Amino acid sequence: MKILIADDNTTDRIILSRVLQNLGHQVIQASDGNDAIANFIEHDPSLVLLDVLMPGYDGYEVAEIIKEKSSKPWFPIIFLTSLTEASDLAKCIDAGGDDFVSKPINKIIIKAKIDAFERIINLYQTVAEQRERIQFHHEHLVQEQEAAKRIFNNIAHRGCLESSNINYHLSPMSIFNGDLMLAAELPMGGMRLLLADFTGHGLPAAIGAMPTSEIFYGMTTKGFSIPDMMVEMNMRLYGVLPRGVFCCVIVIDIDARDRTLTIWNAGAPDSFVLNTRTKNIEPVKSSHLPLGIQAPEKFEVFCQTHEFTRDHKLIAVTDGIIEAEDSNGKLFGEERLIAGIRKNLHSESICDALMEEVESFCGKTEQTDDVSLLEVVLPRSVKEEFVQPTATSKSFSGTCDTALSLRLRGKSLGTFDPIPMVMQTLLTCNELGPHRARIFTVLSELYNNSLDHGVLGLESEMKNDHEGFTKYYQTRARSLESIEQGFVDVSVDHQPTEDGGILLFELKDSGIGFEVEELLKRGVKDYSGRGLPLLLNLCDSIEYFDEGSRVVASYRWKFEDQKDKLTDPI
Amino acid sequence: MAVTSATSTDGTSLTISIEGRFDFSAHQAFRGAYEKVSPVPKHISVDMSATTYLDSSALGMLLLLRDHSGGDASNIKLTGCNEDIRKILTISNFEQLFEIV
Repeated sequence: MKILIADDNTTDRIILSRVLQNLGHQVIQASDGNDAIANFIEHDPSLVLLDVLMPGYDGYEVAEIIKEKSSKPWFPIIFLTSLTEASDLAKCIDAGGDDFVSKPINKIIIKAKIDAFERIINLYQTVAEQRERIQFHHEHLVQEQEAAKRIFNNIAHRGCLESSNINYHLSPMSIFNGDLMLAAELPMGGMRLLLADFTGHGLPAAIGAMPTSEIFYGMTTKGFSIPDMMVEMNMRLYGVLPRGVFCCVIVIDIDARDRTLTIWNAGAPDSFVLNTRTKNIEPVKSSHLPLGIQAPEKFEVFCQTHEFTRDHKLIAVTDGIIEAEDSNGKLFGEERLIAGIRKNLHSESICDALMEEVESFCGKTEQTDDVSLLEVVLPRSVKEEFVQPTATSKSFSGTCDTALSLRLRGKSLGTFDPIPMVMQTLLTCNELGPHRARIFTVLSELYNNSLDHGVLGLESEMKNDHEGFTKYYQTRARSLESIEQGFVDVSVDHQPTEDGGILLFELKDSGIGFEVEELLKRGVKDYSGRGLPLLLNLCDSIEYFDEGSRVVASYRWKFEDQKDKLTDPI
Repeated sequence: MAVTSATSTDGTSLTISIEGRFDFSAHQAFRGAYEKVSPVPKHISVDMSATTYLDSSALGMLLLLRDHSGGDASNIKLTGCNEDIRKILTISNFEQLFEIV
């Protein structure tokens, strides 16, 4: 160790130097205070032995200057003193000294003290090095997280979450809390939203977000139903996530035209469907294990359908808000959440109001970091995605001249939705791209009519009042679960014409038909009449045959229709 | 948080008790409580009568225990759950995977 000795008594200084050199230390000598400071700066020793009484700066002053100038994490100073008064000794420590040794110097004591200080110096050094290393790793981690966040935000982008019918709260680092919020427009209008909460924090929690959002956007734009999409998501997450990591999820479809909300809650806290007119708050409880736990062959999805008009709002949350703590560790809890919703039922943004409640409850805003909140009302208009015209020349591609048909029988009616498949096949004709939403609407309206009213024999008048509405969807779900008989034939014939093409849809079902004339008479005005106003609006012709159990609709498209938008008929 | 465990004399059943908060801090101790027992006992019960709180990482740990003891073939009871804990288990529909007594 490099040791500086400052003592104006030459004999004392030389004796001490010898002793320390014999112990293996490198010694620098200074004969007064000024010399001590100069040598300290020049040689950068690890320890100083300071005589108290010296010409020039005395030991106390030198100690203060050295402590101030030292760049080491800790620089020990030991005073050498012939003073014996307790107050003088205490002054050594006050001046910044770390210890003192009485003169005349005892070899054994000075060795023991220097050894002890060397250990402490090493300890300080180790701590400083470790701190530096930790700081380096921390900075590295923060940088990596920033980069990861940008990557995740590109993949798990928020879709149409900024639409005017949505209010939400999501922390910018939410992905590392395992929270994910996605929104996309449905091909036939309306919107699908997903709020997911992966267990854990940090990168492991974020990783599940990638397949989840990929499946969400991929399958939503192709028109797959919630159950189909969730089966796929569960299968992927079951394969990807380690046991013990899972994903609580709420998924919501809003049909702006039918004014319905279809929702499925798996493992998340209650969501709430609010009616601002009747002030009714209806909880939507979790009805399934979270994603990533149940083996694919056992996984089943049963959605609930609710009426959703301009009077309704939906609130969905993750457990962050319920588990937000105040300074005493008390939880915000579900009761406060419901009370907060009730109090702010007519607020412009219930979401903002609830955030204020949580923040004032917690006292500190940083505690609300993993609170994710979603508030949705009925979308104002049904927008169609903007499709760039594919080619300047009027060409025909893919299935531009094709007929396809399939028959769904019995159990398949309950388990398979043919619309996405048929749509995908039709859309290989790129020129149909701009018509996607319209064609999707026509096809699903026709198919649902055949299935609901034809095969299942449900009356659309049922949907006219609130109770009937719920009953309609419950009956439908139950019937489809146990269906054994019946069929629907779906045929589509696509033929090119000079300026575009004609799609001929023909659907036949096993039902007994209905009073076609009567429906056609009042159908144009009445919204419960099998979606007929919409179909008549979109199609060039609709004809019923076989007492109404067979329908033929034609849809003509032209090249210049490309910027047409599907507008809300209501 | 304290995790204690006891194996029956014939080695066929294991009881793991959790005192206080059952969260990530219990991870090592909880895992240790069942991994050291070999062969895997037929009957496992997790005694939560002294558990005050359960979070989602605890749910994950329960799933790991279930996997360790045979997945679908496992026989795991969760006993002594208070109302709050029962609620968390119900939200996640864990009654499909565990026998909640």
